[in-house]
Amino acid sequence: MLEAMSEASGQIDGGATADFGGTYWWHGERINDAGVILAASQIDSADYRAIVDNLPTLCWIANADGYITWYNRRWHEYCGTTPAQMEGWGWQSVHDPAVLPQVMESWTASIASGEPFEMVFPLRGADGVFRPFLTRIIPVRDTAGTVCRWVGNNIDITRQILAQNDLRQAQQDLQAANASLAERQGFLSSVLSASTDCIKVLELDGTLSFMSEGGMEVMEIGDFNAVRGCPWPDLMKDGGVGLAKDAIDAAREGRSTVFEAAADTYAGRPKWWSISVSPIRGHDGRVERILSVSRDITALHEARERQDLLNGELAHRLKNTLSVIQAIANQTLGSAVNRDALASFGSRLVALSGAHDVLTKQSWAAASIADVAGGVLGSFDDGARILLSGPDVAIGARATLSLSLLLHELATNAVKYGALSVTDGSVELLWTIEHEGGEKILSLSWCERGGPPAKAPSRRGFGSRIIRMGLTGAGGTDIKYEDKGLSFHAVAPLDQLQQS
Amino acid sequence: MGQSTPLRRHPVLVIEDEPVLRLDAIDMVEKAGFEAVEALDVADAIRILETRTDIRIVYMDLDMPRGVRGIEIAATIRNRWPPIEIILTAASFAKADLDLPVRSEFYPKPVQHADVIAAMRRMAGHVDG
Repeated sequence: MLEAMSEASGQIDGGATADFGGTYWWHGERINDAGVILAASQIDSADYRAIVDNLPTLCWIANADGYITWYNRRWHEYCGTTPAQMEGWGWQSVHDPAVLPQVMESWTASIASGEPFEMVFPLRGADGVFRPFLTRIIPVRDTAGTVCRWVGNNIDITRQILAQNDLRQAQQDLQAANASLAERQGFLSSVLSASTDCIKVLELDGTLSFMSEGGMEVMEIGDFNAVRGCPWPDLMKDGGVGLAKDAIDAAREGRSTVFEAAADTYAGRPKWWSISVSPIRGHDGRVERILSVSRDITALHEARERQDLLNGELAHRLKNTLSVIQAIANQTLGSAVNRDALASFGSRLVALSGAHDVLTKQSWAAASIADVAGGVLGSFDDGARILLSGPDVAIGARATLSLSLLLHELATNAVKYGALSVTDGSVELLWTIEHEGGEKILSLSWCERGGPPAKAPSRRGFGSRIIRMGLTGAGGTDIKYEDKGLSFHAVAPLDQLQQS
Repeated sequence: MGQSTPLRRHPVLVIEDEPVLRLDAIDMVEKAGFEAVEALDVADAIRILETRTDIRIVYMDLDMPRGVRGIEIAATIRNRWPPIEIILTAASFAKADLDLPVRSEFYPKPVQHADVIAAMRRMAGHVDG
């Protein structure tokens, strides 16, 4: 680092103190305080010396051939040299050897041509530190125009160079920052335009203020100005308008939401979108704008519709087939077995069919216990006599079928012999999830009250076997035939019930 | 009057294009003590209703694929022969999804014979009353 030379305050030689400042030079003539021009003989050479020695720069005088004959006091103060050391070409000793050849070349060229010299080069101070000096040398010519002297002046520009370096560094930093900003901006905008999602920025009132390039493509918008400032929810169809408005309200309150809606592209092509709406916060954490990202899920939506259609068709055929099976059984066995047996067969088919109805609604993946129980028991309940109570639990397709048949047998039995065979009887179906050593267990109980005393059946038919097999077909059941009525309890690990 | 046994054999028109189901439905109707009149399809049914003015109960399968949608035929029967009671069945719908004609009952497939017979007896009671 360069270190600026401390500028000495205007010290003057003792002898000159008395009248220095009391007189001054004006257009080459000496004037006193009163403005009176003094005679040339009255000019004191000490005044000259005081002036040149106190000039705030280093200066010197050379002969026409460049031989330096005089330096001012500041030169020697700065360089720590003596006039004897510096005389003639002695100044080379305070130059930087690396720069000196260049200085010599320029200086000798000036001497040869008589042209002024200007250069910045380092001079070594008395402290051993090189500092940059702006050096100007001008020729002094005699009346014939011939160079008779050179007057040189060296100004310490350490501070200016430092400032200049700082400025250059700041400029470089700025350029680097600009470049990295531009790169980042380029990156972000390439990410934005590469996305096939329609990325939009909305103002808090829900109007459009930005749309990504890829977004304009999927929305088939050629010029964003066509939709700039439009209320975004108005682009939705049907129920989507309300959903979009709700999403904007939520985002204003700082919440993110996702919904699906139909909206035509700008060219009028109908599409389905999965739309995520979230708040964009400013530095102070307040919601300033709203981000809306829409993904084209038309293909997915159509696939889902086809799936629903197919499921419906499948369920239709299945139920039709069950009807045909029922008819064949009736016609085949009608004369061979008693009517009750055929009726039981028919009603079990109906229970099975009801289980399929519940499953079809969920694409055969799962069904809630409440839906299954409601579907099976609805036809047995002639007036809110069967109470269902339990948490919202989903079970798999297999468990749905076995639970349907199980509940059907319990209800059939209750109608024939139990609480539902009399007008005042009632049934309570309760289910809970219990935790047993990290495992979730479904516990289901069927409790009949208000009917005749329950009696164990004398014969074990298909119905009682279904009941005993319980929820998974592996038992885990407990039946009590008590005077107050039948009670049935079944448990099974929930994860088994949820397997398809 | 709500009698469980009709005083005379009420005719019931069974409209069903699936032969096995038609056979079983006719059997069900006859065992319940009604007279079964069979129609193989909707056009057949309309022809029969135009001549057999004594028919007051119709049992019809909405899943017949040929021609007009079953539910529209049911509405037509309701409008053209207002006194006729209509019992409908289908595999493709749940009751909640259907826009049923007034004074009609719906039983999803597979039907419980006991439910349908009970409905027919109820209707026969209205007809007699």
